[in-house]
Amino acid sequence: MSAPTSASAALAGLFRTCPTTGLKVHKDADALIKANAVAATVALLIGGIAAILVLLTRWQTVHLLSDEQFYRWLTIHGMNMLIFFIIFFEMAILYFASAVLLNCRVPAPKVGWVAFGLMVFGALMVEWTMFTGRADVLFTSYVPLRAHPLFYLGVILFAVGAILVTVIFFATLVVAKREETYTGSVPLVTFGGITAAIIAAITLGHGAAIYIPTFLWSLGIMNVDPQVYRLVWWGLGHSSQQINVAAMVAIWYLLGALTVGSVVVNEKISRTAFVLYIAFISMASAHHLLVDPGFGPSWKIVNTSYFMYMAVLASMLHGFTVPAGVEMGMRLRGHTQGLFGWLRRAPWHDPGFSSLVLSVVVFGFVGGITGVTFGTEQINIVAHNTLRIPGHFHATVVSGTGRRWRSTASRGSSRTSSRSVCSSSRCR
Amino acid sequence: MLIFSLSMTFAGTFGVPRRHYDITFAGAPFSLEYSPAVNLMMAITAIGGLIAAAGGGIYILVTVWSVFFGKPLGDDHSEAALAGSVPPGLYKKPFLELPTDDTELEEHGVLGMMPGTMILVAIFMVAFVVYYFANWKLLSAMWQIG
Repeated sequence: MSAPTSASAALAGLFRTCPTTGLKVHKDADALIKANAVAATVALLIGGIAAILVLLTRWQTVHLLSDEQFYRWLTIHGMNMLIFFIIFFEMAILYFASAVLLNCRVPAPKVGWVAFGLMVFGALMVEWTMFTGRADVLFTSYVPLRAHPLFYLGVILFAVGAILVTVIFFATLVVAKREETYTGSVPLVTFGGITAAIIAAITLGHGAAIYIPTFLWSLGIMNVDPQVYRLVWWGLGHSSQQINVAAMVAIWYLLGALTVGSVVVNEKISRTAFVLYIAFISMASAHHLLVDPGFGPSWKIVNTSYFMYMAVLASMLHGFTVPAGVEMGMRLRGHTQGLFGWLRRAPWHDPGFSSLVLSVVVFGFVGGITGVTFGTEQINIVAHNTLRIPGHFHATVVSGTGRRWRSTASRGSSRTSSRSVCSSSRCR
Repeated sequence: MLIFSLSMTFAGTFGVPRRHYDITFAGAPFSLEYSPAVNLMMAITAIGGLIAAAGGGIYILVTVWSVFFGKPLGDDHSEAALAGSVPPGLYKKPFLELPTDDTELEEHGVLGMMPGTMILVAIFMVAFVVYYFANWKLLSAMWQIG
């Protein structure tokens, strides 16, 4: 009798109970989430300082930096914000959406720490090349602009670490299913995490496919065609932002549940919308190549005016179901006055809620509308490479995703499962 | 960030290039003049960006301060103990206060049970159509055929 007792005691020692939600939290998952979130915050700080310097140079009246320094800090800004900050935080979300939401253990925490180490080491390598002026090639690092080989190697190591975390995420799902830590389907937030992880696998595959040859090119071992580089690189460059979108939408559902007890209006519609992301969102990368001479109009239009719209449809579905879930949750709790009584009585003083609303509105109204418009081949002719493009993606990445990450992090230990709001029969 | 993004988009509409160190093209063998509105848009962009950067800085400060120097919540997680010190969602726990199945939602005609959301998404669709149409109109003016 003593052996099973000591085994169960040892197993229990691996978990802590969240005092807010009562959920079991695997301590290794807890530590990995914290480590990734801290690394993300450090990257945000570096990228933010770079942003101020770039901004004060683009403001022609101030024009702070020299041309060389401008492109250096613009590279630092792009890499830290679009790669390091976002992906470190996404890794934290993958641990959260699997181990914490499913009440299970991380199957290979040591591998998780190896992955984190690889990502930090790779990021430091890239930072070193950028800060020492060995990689003034911007975030896109278009060939034939040549950076120091360690720049490409750093990105590869960072990507390998991220792939390992993605593998751990899927392994956690298998463990949770086998150990029966949940019943029925996975929660919607976890489903969104699965979507993000699948897109991450596609994205990081593109990254490996282009950065390994480019690394060899930087060593003088082989050639890389600039047009092929752009085609494959955008499979990484844009798709990496689609990991954000899937994870961000998942967090929209989570924060709605946490802050106002929103419900999932229709699970099938929300999950179908996530599947649309997986099927079509990578093809949207083609909109970066709309003025490239190497591709014909048919290829461009099929990808950006047909397939891309299916991903847009997915965003519009979420753009309806998220506020609808909030409204229904509020109405079910008695806030039924008029058309917008539920919105007036919402907890606007809760940063999690106000941030959720701002994220949905700015991402949809500014980022979404401009994105679809600029992604149209004919309109892209006049919008391409103008400030309209960064105007668009700052609305999506910063106002949408960045705000979402920050509001999630600010909730600290408030970790819960969206399944709790779906246990009502009304929500199924 | 909203000010920053919108003004940047407007500046781009006037042809201001992205990624460019010097939009005046000083020292170039050709000259280029933008609409005077560009200077205003770039200034608004900078102001919006600085406000956003300040917000980001405050976020980092608050987060780091909370994690390393913040007051522990303690064992009492009741509303009385936590009210005013942490976001209300953490102690009111709306996600645990499940609505009862006998709660009936009122129908609002064609707007259904979620009329507010229906109106909000209708506003979104109108904005979408207007912006999309305006860009095609702009394109037709800039890209004359025949």
